[in-house]
Amino acid sequence: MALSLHYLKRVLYSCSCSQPAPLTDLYFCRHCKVARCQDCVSITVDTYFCPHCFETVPVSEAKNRKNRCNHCFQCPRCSSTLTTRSIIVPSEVLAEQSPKKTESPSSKSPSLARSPGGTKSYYLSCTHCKWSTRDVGIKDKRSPIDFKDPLSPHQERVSQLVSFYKEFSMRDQAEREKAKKVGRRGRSYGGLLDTSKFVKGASSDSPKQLRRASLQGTWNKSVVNKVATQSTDCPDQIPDGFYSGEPELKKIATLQQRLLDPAHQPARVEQFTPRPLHLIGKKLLRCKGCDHILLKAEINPSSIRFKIQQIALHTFPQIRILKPPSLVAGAPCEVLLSVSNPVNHVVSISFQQLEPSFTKGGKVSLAPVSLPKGSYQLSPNDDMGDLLDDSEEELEGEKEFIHSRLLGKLVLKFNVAPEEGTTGEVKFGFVLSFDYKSTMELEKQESSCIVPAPVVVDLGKLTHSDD
Amino acid sequence: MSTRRLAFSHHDKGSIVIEIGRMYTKVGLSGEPAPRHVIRSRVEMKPYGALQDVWDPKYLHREELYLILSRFLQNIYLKYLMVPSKDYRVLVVEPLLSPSHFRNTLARALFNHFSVPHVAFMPSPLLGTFSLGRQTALVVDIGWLETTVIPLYEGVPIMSAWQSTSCAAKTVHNTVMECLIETGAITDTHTQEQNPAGTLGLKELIQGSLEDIIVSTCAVRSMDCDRTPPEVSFPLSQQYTLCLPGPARDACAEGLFEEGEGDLSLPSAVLESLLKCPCDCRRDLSENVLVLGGIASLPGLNYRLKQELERLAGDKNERFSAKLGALQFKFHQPPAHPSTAAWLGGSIFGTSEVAVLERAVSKEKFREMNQRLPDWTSCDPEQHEQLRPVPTRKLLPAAPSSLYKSTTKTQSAH
Repeated sequence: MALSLHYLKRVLYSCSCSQPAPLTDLYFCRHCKVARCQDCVSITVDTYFCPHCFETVPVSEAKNRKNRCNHCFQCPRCSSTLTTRSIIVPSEVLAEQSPKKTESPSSKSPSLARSPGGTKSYYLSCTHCKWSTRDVGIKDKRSPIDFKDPLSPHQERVSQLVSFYKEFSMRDQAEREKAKKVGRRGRSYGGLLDTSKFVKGASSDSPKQLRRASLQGTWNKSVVNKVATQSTDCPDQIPDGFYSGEPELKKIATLQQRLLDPAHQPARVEQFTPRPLHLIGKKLLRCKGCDHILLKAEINPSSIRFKIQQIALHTFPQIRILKPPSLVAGAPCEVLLSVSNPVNHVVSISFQQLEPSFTKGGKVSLAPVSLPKGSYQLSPNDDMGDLLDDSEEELEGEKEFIHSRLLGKLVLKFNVAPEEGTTGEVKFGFVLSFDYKSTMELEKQESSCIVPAPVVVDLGKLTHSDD
Repeated sequence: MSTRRLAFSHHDKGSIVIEIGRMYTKVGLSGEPAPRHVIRSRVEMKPYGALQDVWDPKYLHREELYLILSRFLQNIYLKYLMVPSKDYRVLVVEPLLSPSHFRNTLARALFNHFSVPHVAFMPSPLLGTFSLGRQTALVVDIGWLETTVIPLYEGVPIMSAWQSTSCAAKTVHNTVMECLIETGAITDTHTQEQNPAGTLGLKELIQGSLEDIIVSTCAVRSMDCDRTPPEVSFPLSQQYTLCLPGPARDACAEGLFEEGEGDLSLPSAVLESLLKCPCDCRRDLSENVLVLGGIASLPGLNYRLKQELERLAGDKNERFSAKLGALQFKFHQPPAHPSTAAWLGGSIFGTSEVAVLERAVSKEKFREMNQRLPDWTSCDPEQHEQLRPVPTRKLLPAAPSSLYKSTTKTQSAH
């Protein structure tokens, strides 16, 4: 695998959307029998979980919590995860601090308050930058989940505007519909059948009534003016402190710290509040052609395994450059490529020339190549293979082009003739066809089909002969 | 009847509101007072790994933009919003004049790659007024590369009075940078060696934290101020500290108020725009000025703009005094940070399903239109017709209601 990482950009397979990609980035759809790259699969978030406490959060709850964890918090200063610290407050101190609370019987945790050792209280602190909730004057809480993201200062105003515009658009629509009706039939008598006005006890102040009134009655300008903000004659001036003394930069938030909390955008360190940690998701990949699942992770957040994993690396014979060839312009050069079998049964492969349409109208110039003729068989890639006796099973393949044969691997000779005047990298391409045996349980009888995989190999620059 | 049907037939999930700015992208769900995330408009392009600017002029008119935008949106959907793209309509907050190839490609990415049901494109100045709850405002949108001034009267943009100037956030950055190169000094805390800020290598260091320098230390000087702020030492890295001279700190926005070569200054663009408006709406507009954009959060900017506007309008030597001399200038404070005010407008607008769907293009329609969005400047009559279908006089067949009746009858018979 190390080799394949090394040659990541050297051997590029072509996706069904004709985008070149390394084999490690491709998926293989068993149903469409084509390779799919990152851009031709649809990706959705499958399960949500907190990256710190590993709690799996159901979809509906994640939506309600705005994709944030209830228990874990992020440092507003350095954005690392905060740790919860607990201290035991002796009950006498607690009684002194808040005499009213302990007197009232309806205090939140009476059992805790009465316990002989005192009660636990919690604060959050950052192990990385030493920021803590005590720095900004947030009181210690009785429970670690009592730390809540404070509401936006404009929340009320915004919800007022939202309801105003919702009504506005509804009224707009109703009016238009009315106009349409009038234009069509002359007049509508629908209003006469409306019995809601006779319902007993419906006060005229209920929002439904109000809406009805506003929908039917006149939408006078005063309603609009009530909602509208008033402009000010004197906009804010520079604060006084600006000219008088050097600002303490340590107390001013950086832009990154401000943008971490878009609702408040704290300008100063004193305004920092702990941010609930953002959830992360496990992804679910589907083929865009047939909607079958290509990749599905296990639900358990601490597991890194997959339930379904259809990656091209498990199906496609993998091609590697065995050693860097010496390339001379105008002369045929021998290039050794190894083809390895990923599956534990015999796979037969063959090579064809790339169609000229593949080079995108001459955008990618490929060197002419003579490919190994005929079809070859790859021995199964079996972990136990080397323990068995060397079976003298004859595998198909012309001896002329075979350099060597290993377990589950075949090294083949290609003849590439780089053209004169090639300045960039020497590339050559071919179509690797292999027979794919479907091993799906649903398909009872084993079916096999030939899957073509266009491959472009980048051999690097021409070798300069110094003699 | 229709309102009732809309209210009960299904639960509206709201819309996703996206504003892809030159520097920062704001994303969130409608109805919320602030975007969920404000992120840089950049995306990592595999397998090359380099960060790619979404608005890179190199790719702005090329086919590769599709890939860049779909990767960028994928990041937003999977990492930040974490919602299924098929379930939510999208409201894109865009500048008044956004490049048509960018719009088309964005729509293509949203429809084809993410199967979004409806996409609506709305200009940011118009949405800015939604955050105020009023229909009339003179919107000054200070972007990164250009500032646009557009008067909106009773919800209608007066396009003939549109003005734009290159005095924008970049001007502020350039002014501060020039000021620092001339007068700033960088101290090496290890060797106590002092170098001018213009030294090669150190310049890039300043460029990297220029945004932070402006945000945390700068303000806009008022016209009648004769004081100089004290100098500040700003830590650039572990090793270097920048000594920021006092005058640079309050002169950062001077570039906005100076006439450039063939270019208007910010106040004259505002007045020019007012001059082009019908005379009976000038007062309403000048008393409702709304300044949008991240730069508007610089302390004292609105105050200085007001002073400059009054000076220019009252100046007998300038061409504005005859018509605009009597005007008063009043400013609005949107209920959000100025950089997210346009987004907030989109968030408020996005909650109303009827209003968004009326202005949106559906996936099917987009396919019918050969994957090209209609532009308000487009002269193709065919496209216009497709966007706004002519209301047909044909009456709907009465099938649904009669069908309903027959089924209830059979039910009662049983």
